[in-house]
Amino acid sequence: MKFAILSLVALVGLVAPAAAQQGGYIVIVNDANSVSALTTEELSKIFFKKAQRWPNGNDVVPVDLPESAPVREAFSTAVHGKSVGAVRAYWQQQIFSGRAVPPAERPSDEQVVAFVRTTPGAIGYVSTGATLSPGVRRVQVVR
Amino acid sequence: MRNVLSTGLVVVTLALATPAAAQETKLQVHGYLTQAYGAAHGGSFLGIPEAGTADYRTAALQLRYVMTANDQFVWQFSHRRLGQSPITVGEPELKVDWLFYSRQMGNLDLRVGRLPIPAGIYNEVRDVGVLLPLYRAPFDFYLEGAFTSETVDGVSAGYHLFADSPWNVELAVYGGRYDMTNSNIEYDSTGTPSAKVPEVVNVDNALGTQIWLNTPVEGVRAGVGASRLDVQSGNFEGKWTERHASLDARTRWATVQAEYRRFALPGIGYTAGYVYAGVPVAPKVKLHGQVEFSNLVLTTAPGAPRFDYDRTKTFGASYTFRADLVVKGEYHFTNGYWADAPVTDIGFAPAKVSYFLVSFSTSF
Repeated sequence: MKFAILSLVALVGLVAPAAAQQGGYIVIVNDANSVSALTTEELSKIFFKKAQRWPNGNDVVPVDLPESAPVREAFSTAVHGKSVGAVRAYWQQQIFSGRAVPPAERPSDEQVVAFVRTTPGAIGYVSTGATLSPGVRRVQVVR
Repeated sequence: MRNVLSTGLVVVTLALATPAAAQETKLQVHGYLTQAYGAAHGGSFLGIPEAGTADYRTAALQLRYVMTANDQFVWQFSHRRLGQSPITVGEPELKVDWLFYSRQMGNLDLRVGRLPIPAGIYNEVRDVGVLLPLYRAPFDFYLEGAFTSETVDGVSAGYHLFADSPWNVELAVYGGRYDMTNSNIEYDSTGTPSAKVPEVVNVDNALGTQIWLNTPVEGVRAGVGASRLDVQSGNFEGKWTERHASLDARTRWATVQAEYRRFALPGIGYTAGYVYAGVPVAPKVKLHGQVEFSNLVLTTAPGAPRFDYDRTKTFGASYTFRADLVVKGEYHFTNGYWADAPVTDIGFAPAKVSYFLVSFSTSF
């Protein structure tokens, strides 16, 4: 019985949405995307543009909030394990070695939601209090 | 005219150098600038005179046309001033640094055109001040302005092996041609070294590779590389080969980097390396220390004599306002044969020249 309870606690700990634990963001995708859950590792690859295709074949199109947004700091810390400044340094390395450029940015939760709604392969994150319109679906984040 | 162009590029760069939001238009613009003031003691080194100079900077504007998620054109033109260095005499104020087409196919990246050479930790970003711990990449290893090129006119292919594994490998190969500026030493009638004279030579049949092993420890990787090239004219005409090894460890507590390389060219062997350590002492403040060396062997001379070509110690500090705005101060103690003045050569006494640089770097 003790083993069962410990296992249950461990399981809950593993699959609990990171948003709940970080208290700052939720991850959203276009409603046409069948993905329902992503690990933080997968999210990190997506936002570092190391994952390029969804299982349905669509291009992965990540969208960021501005660097000044507190939600972005929470997302960056929880998903990448890096500060926003460290992520910026990563992109500087990519840009100035001629490799890649960072994801597009939208200035607010509303505009991230609108972008994801109108872009089939888009994925973004917004604050937990953001209003999700039809056409956008929340994705569970698994540790 | 030179000042007008320089000032224009600096102004444009600064005007654009805001912490801009990532762009998503098909045409994207990025750039960087590092402006420095330096002064030397005991001679001059890399264009830094005893009287001091602020004519010391690197800058570039990068235009990137993103056709699709996997296809892009990259055009970067750059500007460099090295004070009074003879190496940059005649160098254009603006030059096409890169102009290449890149196609991404899964883990394969193909490039065609004038493209940065993947070599060591810093070759591709050797002028990007916000990415360098000191003003320039370690000189003995990377050199500057002479005996080196950061770009090649040709093709390159990069492949990421075992990309999903904690241990993964990044492999790059390239081939093509480029121009290299050599630095020749002239002697006066008494047989004493009297001047350094630059000479642009054509390099053909350049082939090279760079392999990085990324480890499960984030920020820690090890690399090896090699290249061969045919220098078509000048005092160093002939086939050159080069090998190098790198260790790059960047953690939140410290950065430690070490690289070693060996050149073999007709009649000469050149080995060089460095160890760098950087330690953050406050949230935005980092202290830097670096030891560099290079040796030269006259491989076809009787007894193959070996010379300590350079020994340099460097100390510095940097303050990072933001990832795209950094101020640095550094002091270098050199002892060898790289100094612009006094002009010297192996067989003569080495020059002991020290110099400092204060610089700020920005990018967008």
